[in-house]
Amino acid sequence: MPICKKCGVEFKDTTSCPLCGAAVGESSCPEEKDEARPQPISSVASITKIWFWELFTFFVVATLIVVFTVDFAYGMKVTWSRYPLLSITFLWLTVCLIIFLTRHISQLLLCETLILGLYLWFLDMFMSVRPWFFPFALPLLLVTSLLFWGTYTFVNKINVKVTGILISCMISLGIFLVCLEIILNRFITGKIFVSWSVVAFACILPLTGFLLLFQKKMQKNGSHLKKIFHV
Amino acid sequence: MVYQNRGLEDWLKLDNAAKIYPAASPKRSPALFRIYAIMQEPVKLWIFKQALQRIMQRCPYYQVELKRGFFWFYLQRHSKIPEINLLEDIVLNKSIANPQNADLLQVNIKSSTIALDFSHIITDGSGGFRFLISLLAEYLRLSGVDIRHTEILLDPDSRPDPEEYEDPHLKSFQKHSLSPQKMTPAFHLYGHPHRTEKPRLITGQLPIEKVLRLTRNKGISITEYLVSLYIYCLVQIYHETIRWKKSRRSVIRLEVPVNMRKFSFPRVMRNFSLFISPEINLKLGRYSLPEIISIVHHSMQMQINDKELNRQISRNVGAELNPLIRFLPLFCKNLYLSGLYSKLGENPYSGVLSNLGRIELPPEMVEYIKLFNVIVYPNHVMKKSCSVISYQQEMLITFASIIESRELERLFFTQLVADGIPVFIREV
Repeated sequence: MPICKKCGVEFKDTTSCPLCGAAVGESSCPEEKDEARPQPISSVASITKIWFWELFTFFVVATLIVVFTVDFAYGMKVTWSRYPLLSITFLWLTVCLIIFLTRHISQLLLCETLILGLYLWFLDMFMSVRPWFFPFALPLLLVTSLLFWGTYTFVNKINVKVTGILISCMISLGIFLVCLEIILNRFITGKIFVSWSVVAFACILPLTGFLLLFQKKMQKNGSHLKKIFHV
Repeated sequence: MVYQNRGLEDWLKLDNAAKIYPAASPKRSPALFRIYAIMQEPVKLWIFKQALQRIMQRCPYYQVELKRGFFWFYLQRHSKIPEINLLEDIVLNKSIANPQNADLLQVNIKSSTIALDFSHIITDGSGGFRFLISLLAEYLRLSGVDIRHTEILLDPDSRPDPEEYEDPHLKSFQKHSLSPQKMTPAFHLYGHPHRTEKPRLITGQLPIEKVLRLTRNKGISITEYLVSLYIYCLVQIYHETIRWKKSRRSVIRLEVPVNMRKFSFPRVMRNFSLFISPEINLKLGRYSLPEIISIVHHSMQMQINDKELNRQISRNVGAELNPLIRFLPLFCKNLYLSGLYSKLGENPYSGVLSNLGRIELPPEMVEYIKLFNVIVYPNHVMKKSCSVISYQQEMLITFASIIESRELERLFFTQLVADGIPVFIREV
């Protein structure tokens, strides 16, 4: 079998080396033809958390300085800028929490409840109207957080399926509506009673029943729905 | 129905590794590989059909077709036996590039060659290889050869073990493990696309004893040596390339599959391979071959560790179980997965080298099988793939390429010859 003098490899069925193209008996490899300029391969930009946080913080600080200066420069005191300053600070804290506590949902929820509570409390203090934080905003905030945390924990611990998650969310929504009406009525009229929220809750119940039935069908072996909607 | 007797549902979820393939540009870079065997004598078609039928029924998880669900693709089972096609030449059949319209396993025969084309959606190289040798064993049995049942061969009369088709990634998943380190984009080969639609194959045939002697002298494994050589060739091409094309990518990194069955779940017949990524950064200067061998050797020794490899499972399964991703409709998910595949599976790698290792068969089979080979369809970003398999006294190294340039192959095999290993070259 012929051996390429340049590459040193053996080959058969061809008259030239499959590697360098040299003919049998040729002493040197022909140069590879110049390649045309190839297409550049698009690079994938990666944005890290820290980079994003630093950039975001820079813009937040810049905005705070500008807003404060504009207000202070015209009256030598802080007036309207309290609202945007407070709101921007709240927004910054929220983004920080989302960036650094993404994997710790319980801690994220607790801290978010805390800073939202503080934000609303400060807003209440700045406003010269009837106090609304303690009788209205705080109970509503606590109910919302507790329901969210309860649903999340239930779904996570029990390891329910998709329909189970939907059912949990819908029941939580029903409870939330009832609590909302109670808190609202107590705040406006000073009395505790329910009306429309019970109707809404009653509408949710048949829907959850339908979902339960759907889940039962899905659990059947060979179910057509199960394979199409599996997650 | 056949499948009702085998204790499986009529559909299967894609395993964690397979989930990304239907979305990841199947037309440009089909996730395919071919495993073939050349027998000593021409194949007797009527016997082969019987053997195929028995083995297919033993492996119901390969009697499947890809279907779209609302959230994920799934595998719909059927009881069809794949048609046997005439093997045109030893080049991968791209007709299964679009997995939704084709069988995920195709059987091709010509004369004494039996070639199986697998889509990575159903299995990886080790699973496919076990299927092939079980098929060959059954074929030989039906031809009158006495082949004893061993652990490596699937018994057509037995029932499939759930371990064979259950997703091993989910079973190995540890929730709070670390994700693997992020990888920067790597240098890629440039070049004109190949003239034909089919990839060009260059196979080098080497005496395994000489390769073993060489690697033992160096105190490294065969895979480490071949990976080092591959990187060394890419280094030379890199230095040649940057003379006319400025490249900001100075990292040369190879994707080297590791068969996870060595660590756990040895009977898995679906995908169960992870990757190690030996690399060098050319910003640090020029590297000689001995330097590269040393770096690759130590890097691979550190990376081939079940705990280290499980970090990839943590990342991949963690993403699959993420509620935001799970509830994303499939058409949105495909966009996301396509980008993810590009980021994690294509851009960080300059090439891929897959070594299936030395094939051990029952002694009764050896005299009937002349040769085994494996071909991995090259990715359009990496442009070339390298697959290695050893059988009896020979090792086959096959480069599949979608570009005209054969500089990498030339440098690779020339270096082997320079190291004292005779190489016989064949091109398709």
